[in-house]
Amino acid sequence: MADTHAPWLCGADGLYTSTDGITWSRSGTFDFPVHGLAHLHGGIAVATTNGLWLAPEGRGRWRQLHDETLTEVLALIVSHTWGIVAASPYGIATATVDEHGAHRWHSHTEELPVKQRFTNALAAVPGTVDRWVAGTEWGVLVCEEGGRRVEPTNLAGTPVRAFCTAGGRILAGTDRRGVWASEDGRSWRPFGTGAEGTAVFSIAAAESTFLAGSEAGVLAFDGKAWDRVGPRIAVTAVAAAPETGGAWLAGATPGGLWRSDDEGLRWYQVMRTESVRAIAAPAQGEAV
Amino acid sequence: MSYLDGVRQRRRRLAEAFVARGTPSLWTLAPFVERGMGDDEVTAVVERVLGALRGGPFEVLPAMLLYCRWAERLPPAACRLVRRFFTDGVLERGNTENHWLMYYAGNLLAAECFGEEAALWNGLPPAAVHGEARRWILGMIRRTATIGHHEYDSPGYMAEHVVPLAGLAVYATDAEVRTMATKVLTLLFADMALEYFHGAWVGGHSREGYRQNTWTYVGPVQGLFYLYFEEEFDPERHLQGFTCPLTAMDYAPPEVVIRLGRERPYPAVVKKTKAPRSIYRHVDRPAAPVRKYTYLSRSFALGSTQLGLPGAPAAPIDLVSWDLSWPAAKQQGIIVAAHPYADPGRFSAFLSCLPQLAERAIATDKPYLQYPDRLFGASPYERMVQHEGTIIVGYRIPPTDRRPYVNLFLPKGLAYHEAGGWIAADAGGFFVAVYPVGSYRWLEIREATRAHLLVREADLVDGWLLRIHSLTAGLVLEAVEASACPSFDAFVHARAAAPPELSRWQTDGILAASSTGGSRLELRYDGVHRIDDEPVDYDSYPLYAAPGVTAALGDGIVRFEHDGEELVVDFEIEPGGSMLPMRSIG
Repeated sequence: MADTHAPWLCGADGLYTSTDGITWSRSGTFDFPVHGLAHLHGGIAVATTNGLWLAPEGRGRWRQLHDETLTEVLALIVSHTWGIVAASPYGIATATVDEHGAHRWHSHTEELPVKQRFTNALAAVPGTVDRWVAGTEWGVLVCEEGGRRVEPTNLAGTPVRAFCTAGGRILAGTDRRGVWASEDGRSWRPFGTGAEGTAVFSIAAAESTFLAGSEAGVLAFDGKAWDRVGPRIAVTAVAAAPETGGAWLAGATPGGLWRSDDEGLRWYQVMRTESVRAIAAPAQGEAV
Repeated sequence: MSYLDGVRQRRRRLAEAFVARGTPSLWTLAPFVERGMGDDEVTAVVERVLGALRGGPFEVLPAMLLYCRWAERLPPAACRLVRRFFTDGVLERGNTENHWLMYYAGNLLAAECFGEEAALWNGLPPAAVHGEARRWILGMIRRTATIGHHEYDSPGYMAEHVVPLAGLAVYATDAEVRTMATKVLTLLFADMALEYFHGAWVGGHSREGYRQNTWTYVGPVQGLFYLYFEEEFDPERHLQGFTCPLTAMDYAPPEVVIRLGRERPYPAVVKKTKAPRSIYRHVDRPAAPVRKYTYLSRSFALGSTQLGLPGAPAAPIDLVSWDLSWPAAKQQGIIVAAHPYADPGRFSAFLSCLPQLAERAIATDKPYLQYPDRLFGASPYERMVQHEGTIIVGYRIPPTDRRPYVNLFLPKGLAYHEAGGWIAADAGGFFVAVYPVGSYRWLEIREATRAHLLVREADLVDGWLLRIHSLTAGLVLEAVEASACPSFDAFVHARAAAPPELSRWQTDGILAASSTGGSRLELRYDGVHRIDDEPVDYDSYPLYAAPGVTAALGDGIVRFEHDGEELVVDFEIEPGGSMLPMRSIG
């Protein structure tokens, strides 16, 4: 169910929260590099270079969710059936909980070729029960049965580092092959032109457009093409919040967190922490 | 004096030397506590390191080793700080194998010492922390006993393996952890002993970076050599802070293992298999096992490595694949060459940062990793074959490579002769000749620890640098005992009369040469290597094959034998059992 009271979340060196997207404060004492975020009941699942953590509501101590087999977590989704699904350089893993309350992870793609195993991004396929797409260094894989069944797709031969689900379709960001779209996760087609000369690290839906965070900066989609706007920074996270005044946020590595209130005409830094790798707008949080 | 009495005596001497040096750290605090340092001073050291309640493996481990050894003597305030570090701190696991071992050893000991806490620093109960640490530690030990150590033979990081394992062997209450740690320590000391050579650790190394691989004596392993291999004490070499906790531990490796290194018959060939390199991006297949070959003669040692890399850009950044070593002053006892491969993909092949950002992110902190004169680090384009004191190294560098050349380091302390393309020198006990394949320029290399404005004293690297400018660069090197030749002139004459076979190198990738002893080595790039026309079967390498050591791959049983003494270390590996997946780098 959507949690409309969720604040803005920002993954930098630590988890930052904000009610207005302008003033930010770090949540808790942990300062691990954050790559992904997902709302859970009771807290936020935080994917970091140092494993997977549960940051409780408020400023309480983080609780470890990884084990000795789950290391750098680059992305996660929360499945009604499988719980947290974690993506890492070693593939896709799901967990069970042992008698001590600790998570024990099981990798489902350990035996894939190296490029297919390294997973940068995950997304649930709209309208399906537990079908996911995995953005790997090889391209997009479709995963079913909790990650036990994995199939290649026609989006191959390029790393895929970002997904965005909106309007019944998924967009995927590639290295120098632009942005692609799919309705079922299996069949992909190019989506607009203009992003082929760069690497796309993140994608977000804005009120009337899409935004892509790229090596060259923010790209805004005008219905046909992706056009660069704002500072020439490597944008590793991008988000928009139509419900809260239409702000666009762009997180850079390096370069901190930037904001635009006028659809990309003017940008200003709102947080000067070195690197921002994940942003969740208030309406994007979904607690499971 | 018995071996164990000698170890105890050197422990005391080393502890006294640490105290005499002063300025204790958390790693070196134990001997100060033992010798009655005041409570306020002890607490101040602990506060300085742990007071911020955040740290990584290099804080986690020494904190618990100190606590386990001296909990009764530590001031209550220091004890409270250690406990609070493990209940309220923010602790990082790091990313290399030695990091994870120190982290998990420290956490296991903390879970045992502070078991009454409801939760430790990560929100989990001590039993869960202990369980995770135990699984990783035992899994790492079984993997090492089965397919070989991962962060293998590192002069820089072996101490950071030995110290946590010794801490577990001595302080852990978990009996299986204690037993298995003791067993794997024997293997790690065997790794050192088999290539221990006049106080140096020769042969290939997984990590010998930081611009020290032209030194004769490298890294904290020197502290272990003093303690257990009966070196004459040299504070500059042996006073290594990371080994100080051993001065407070009643641990010594089995004497028979140490004697293998100290009483070796010459010449000796040592073969080892080591775990594949961690490469998780940019390539299709995983790396193959590492195979090492080291030839130890009375006056020199020549070692080489079949790296098993899966292709560009996989190229571990700290690795040293081959070198010729001999006992000499610093920077006067090594000949080594490297292609200074600089593709940024070599970072993101094993680090999770974005490939587009990796080079700047890594090389900003460690600029020397991308220096054009670099003499360490693997290249995906390097191949080699060795037989005893002769080696052929060949490169096929793509035209698009940033560094279309190979750096060859020669010490300045030798007087060189040139004849027929061979550069030869009389090193005293042995003669050496090297034939650069490709046109080269004779340059100088000077690098310093302090080089803010000028390189005045080249304390890091100081020698001749032969830059072999060729996409098909290579070299042939032969070292022979002086006693095996009538004279140096005769050696030079013999070498000049037997140039390498280069005619098929450009066209077919075949480079061959004969040693002065009459053996013919043939390197087929990405093909079969041959010695005297016989294929070299690297896949047949066992875990260890060396005088006094036998161990097959996979069964976890290692036999040591020396001078009538025998030791069998059996890790009781279950056939067909699953192996802990490798998740750290190194």
